[in-house]
Amino acid sequence: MTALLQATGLAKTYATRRTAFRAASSVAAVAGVDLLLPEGGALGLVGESGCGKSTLARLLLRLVPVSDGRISFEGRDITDLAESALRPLRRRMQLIHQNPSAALDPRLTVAASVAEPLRIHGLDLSRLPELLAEVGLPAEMLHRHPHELSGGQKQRVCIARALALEPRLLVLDEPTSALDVSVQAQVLELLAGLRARRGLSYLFISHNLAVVRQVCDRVAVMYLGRIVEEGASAEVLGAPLHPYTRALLASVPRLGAGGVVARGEPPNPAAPPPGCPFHPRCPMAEERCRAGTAPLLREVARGRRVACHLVGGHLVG
Amino acid sequence: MTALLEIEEYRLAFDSFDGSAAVLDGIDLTIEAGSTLGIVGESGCGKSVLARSLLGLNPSPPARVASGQIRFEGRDLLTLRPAAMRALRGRRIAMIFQDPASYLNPVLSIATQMEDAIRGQDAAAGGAVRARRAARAHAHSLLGSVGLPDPARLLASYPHQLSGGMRQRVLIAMALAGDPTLLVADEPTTALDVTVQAQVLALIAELVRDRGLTLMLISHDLGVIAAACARIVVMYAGTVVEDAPTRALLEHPLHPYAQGLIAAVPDLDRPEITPRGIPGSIPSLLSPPSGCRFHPRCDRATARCAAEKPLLRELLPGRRVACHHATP
Repeated sequence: MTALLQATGLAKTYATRRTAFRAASSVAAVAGVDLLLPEGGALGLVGESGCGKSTLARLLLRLVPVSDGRISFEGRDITDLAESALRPLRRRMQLIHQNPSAALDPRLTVAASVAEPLRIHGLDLSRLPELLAEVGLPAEMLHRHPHELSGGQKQRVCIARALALEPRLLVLDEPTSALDVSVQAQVLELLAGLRARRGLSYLFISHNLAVVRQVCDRVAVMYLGRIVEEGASAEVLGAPLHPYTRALLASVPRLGAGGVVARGEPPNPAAPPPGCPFHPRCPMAEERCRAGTAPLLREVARGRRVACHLVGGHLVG
Repeated sequence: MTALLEIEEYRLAFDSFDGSAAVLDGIDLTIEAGSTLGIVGESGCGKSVLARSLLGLNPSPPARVASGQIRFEGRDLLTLRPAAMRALRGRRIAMIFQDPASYLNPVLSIATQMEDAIRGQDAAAGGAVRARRAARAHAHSLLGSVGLPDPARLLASYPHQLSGGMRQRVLIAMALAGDPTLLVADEPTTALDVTVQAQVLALIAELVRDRGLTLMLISHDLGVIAAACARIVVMYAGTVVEDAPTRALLEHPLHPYAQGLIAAVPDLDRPEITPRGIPGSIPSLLSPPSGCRFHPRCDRATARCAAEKPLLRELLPGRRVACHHATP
């Protein structure tokens, strides 16, 4: 399989200005991420709030300036591409947000919202009803305004709007988090069908591990701006290796029995702990985890990468 | 076991310029003293409005009680005078909410806010109001009892210096200030990360066990409810559709909506099962469907479902279902 989207050593550092209350400092929102999304693949990006998953998505789409590292899309390096050169590529990479109510202009009808990207790129507007049908909305919805639609219907409009430009890559940032569970299942069904029919690739950001396991064939787990584990979703979410992935999975309330409770909370990204960023919360941390630099993400099995000093030692098996 | 809270035929309407919305349509449920009850349902089903009814927190207007009773320890909460309700709030029934940040005053220290809560409870009890110093000592011990390390340092901090999980623990500590009997928790972990959510749920379970609290937990997340509650009430569009012990409900739901809700939740441990959505969307409560409010989305609906509202009936011992077609 060829890579549709690839990141190498990608980093984003935000400088915070000095204020009356605080000295100037910097926050490494994303620190040295290597990532590969194959053509037609679905990669899940999971982690808790503040882990940098949304920033990473924005970086990959070149929506925020890159601090360090390279991004390539369709085999072409887009890291330093000028905005004008980037624009034709934007058609093929589309973003879907968490909150469809905020993503739609309340004064535009559904038809006007979906037509907007077509008009901007000078494309044929006659396909509107077809697009709506593809996302499971009846044609009479074309003349409705967002306030007349339910949350699920609004998200379908956003998906239609993204599909209008015939993208190859969809970046979905918590696309079902604002939806009720019965509607979430409908939207996930739609996304699975679209991917199969159109051969789309998904970068799927979510804090919901069960949703990611449904949608994605690969998953990357982020903690404090770094990927700590990456591999096939059945393996990473079925038999996690990194202590953080284990803690995350154990914390998910199950319909069955209760899980194990991880201690502590995610640290402040502006003052990350030394050594492995997870060590203050890790039940297995040793001396070498507490000092030096963060452990590198390395391949521990075919197609399986983990950033932990202890994996490969007594943790495997 | 004796009933601590009995809700009978409770109807609440919200009046607006567009008409009157029947937000709660004849709620019937009982919470035994010392038990844990979860209320689950999707947005707009009325679960938060029901929780707020217990403390008289629904602003009126627009809220208007159309009928029914909410009896707590034998007294009807709906007819209590404001002073009597104030005496109850926090001392008998305490509540915690979804977004801890918005329930703390950003410009006051945790110490000041906790002292105020403790002294407020003293005043409501009608006895002597303790001095700030004594209130602070009590605050210190309350913070310790909710698992917060270094209470002295915490008391000197301001809300913005705390994480979301710590803020929720502070609010739980404040809720304990009046030594309540019933704790109403409305989506207490929804704003928290999953690892922190697990910690707060463990804390709530510990408080229920050690203090003999009765818990009413409201959540949209069946997993959260299943982790914390022995019994579950499923609500849909302002009605109770099923009321059953947790395990029985999850393994063998009887109401079509409860079945649909459970089938829609993706199961991390069984990814081979594709979650199924429920067709359609929740109805407008300004003009709710006739008969069973779920009938337009139900694949088992018949003419009777559109004509006649199903009563919540005991189908199996300890299990109530509101469906014409449900069978044990």
